[in-house]
Amino acid sequence: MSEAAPEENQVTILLALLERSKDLVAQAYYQGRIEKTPATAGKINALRVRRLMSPDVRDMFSLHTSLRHFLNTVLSTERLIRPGTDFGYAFDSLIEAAKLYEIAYSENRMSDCERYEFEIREAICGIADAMDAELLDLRTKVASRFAAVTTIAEKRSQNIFYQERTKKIVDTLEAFHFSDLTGLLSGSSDLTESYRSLWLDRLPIFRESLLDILGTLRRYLYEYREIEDKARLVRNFAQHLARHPDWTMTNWAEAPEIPTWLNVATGIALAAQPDVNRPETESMLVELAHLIPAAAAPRKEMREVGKLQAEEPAAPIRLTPPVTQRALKEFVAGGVNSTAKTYWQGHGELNAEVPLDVWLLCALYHLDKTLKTSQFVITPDAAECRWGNQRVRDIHLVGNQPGAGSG
Amino acid sequence: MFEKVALRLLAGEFLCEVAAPDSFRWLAEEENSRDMNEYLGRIGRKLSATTNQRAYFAAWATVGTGERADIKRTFTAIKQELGPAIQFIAFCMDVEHRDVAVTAGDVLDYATLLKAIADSAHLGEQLRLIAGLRAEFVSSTDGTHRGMLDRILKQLEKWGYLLSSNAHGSISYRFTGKVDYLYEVIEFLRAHESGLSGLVEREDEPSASGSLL
Repeated sequence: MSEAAPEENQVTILLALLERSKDLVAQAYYQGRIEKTPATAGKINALRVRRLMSPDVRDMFSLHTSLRHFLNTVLSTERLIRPGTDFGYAFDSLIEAAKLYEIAYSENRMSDCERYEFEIREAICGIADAMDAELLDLRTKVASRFAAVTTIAEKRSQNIFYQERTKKIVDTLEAFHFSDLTGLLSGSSDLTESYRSLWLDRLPIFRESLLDILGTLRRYLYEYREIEDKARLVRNFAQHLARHPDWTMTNWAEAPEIPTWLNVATGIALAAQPDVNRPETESMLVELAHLIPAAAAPRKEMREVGKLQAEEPAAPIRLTPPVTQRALKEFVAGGVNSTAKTYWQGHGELNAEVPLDVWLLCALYHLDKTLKTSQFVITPDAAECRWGNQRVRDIHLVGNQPGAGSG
Repeated sequence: MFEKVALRLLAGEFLCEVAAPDSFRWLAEEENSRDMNEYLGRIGRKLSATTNQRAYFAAWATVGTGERADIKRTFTAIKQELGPAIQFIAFCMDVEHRDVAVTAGDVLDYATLLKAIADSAHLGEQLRLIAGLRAEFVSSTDGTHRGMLDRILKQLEKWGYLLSSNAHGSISYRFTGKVDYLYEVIEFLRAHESGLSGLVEREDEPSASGSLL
């Protein structure tokens, strides 16, 4: 078993420290900062020594930016504004390292060359990884139409921010493409190969993706203006309707040229009938017929074939005229000098069912229709004469006497 | 699918991704929409869509005297629906503090709406004003906010602007593609009605909007 190199031991020690402090690190990542207490002081100090934690306000501590960036990237944490890589600085550093490598190579300082090779390879990998992360973040934000922010103003601001950033990266890529980095790295076939496969081959795809994102962002900006205008239109129209409840639109149905929106064909109520002549529909129709519940038809005894059946005569219907109708006939038939009141008082069945005033009114209506006005006399209530209407107290049948009659 | 789509179009429906996803996707295929247009053309109609292509409907192929009577009926219907529908959309924007007009597919959560109305006297008053716009929104026996909201939602669903769903006991509504048709109507009115020309004017940046749009 081979022993680990001292540098590798450093990584192991660092990971062991993170393992021991994982709860604190997670807490600081999600809460933004943590408080230093006697229980946590030891671990926080150890993390600070390794530059994994930085002091915040008062007794609070937060994760170091490099660790936070690392966690954001591997956990794909959504951020309102992602602190992207400074590609300009990264490319300048790479070119500087390549120049130093070329000098060391020309002076045949092989150990320095190895050190620069390592730096250059790491820088190329770093730039490629950063570009991947940048593209992923941009694509996510563009696909969600900046869902992390809610208002149109914020979305538009983010759109402009990322548009400018994307444009800058595209410009930097183009400048980098025309640099003489291939010539500077030509001393090492290994470096040339790494540079070609990790970066140069992917460059057109990166550039294309960035230009595509840039185009989408520009289109969104235009759409935001439309959305804003639509929202304003809806709000202002609603306000207009609220302020002017009597407002009605012009009768566009009478316009010589019908507006496009008004040209909507009226719906037709469609009903289909089954074609009973098609044999293929028979089984389906039978199934449907079985689903129809049987009607509760009255049972009727059928006459036996060849036999006559006598029909029973229907029972006659006898109508009994109402008491008032019978009493009126009898009262009129009673002849001259009989009075309606006396008749009512003398017939128990009548006065039990009909009050006197109702009887008098019925009698008056009947006599008015069947006799001449000279054949009966009304006795009014003297006390109520002054009101214009007369209350009938009694009616006398008098025959054909001249001058007699109702008023 | 042809038969299903044809019947729904002939019945006067607006077919969108929300109300009829299968039919809408079928019509979005160029060949299918051409077939349907040809078929409708034989019975005096044509396939039409909102400007943003989010809802399809059947329109008259030509407008003659016979179609005028139907167009008058359509106009009367729009005239009655326009006010309450727009006021309700503005109300929903207020409830959700949105500066974006609702579009097809936007969800209205019934419980959230009710809670917002209960928490804000202003929203309650706004709802009451909307309820006063149509006889269908008013009830002599139920004058509660819930009752008013229920009747408004039911009517908007009947008009085809909303689609209700009741998943896991939670009631929600989704706006259909017909709202885009409504926006086209008010956009037309803004452009052609004399009193409405200033409806989209910006107070802060009038020149910028002009150059972009």
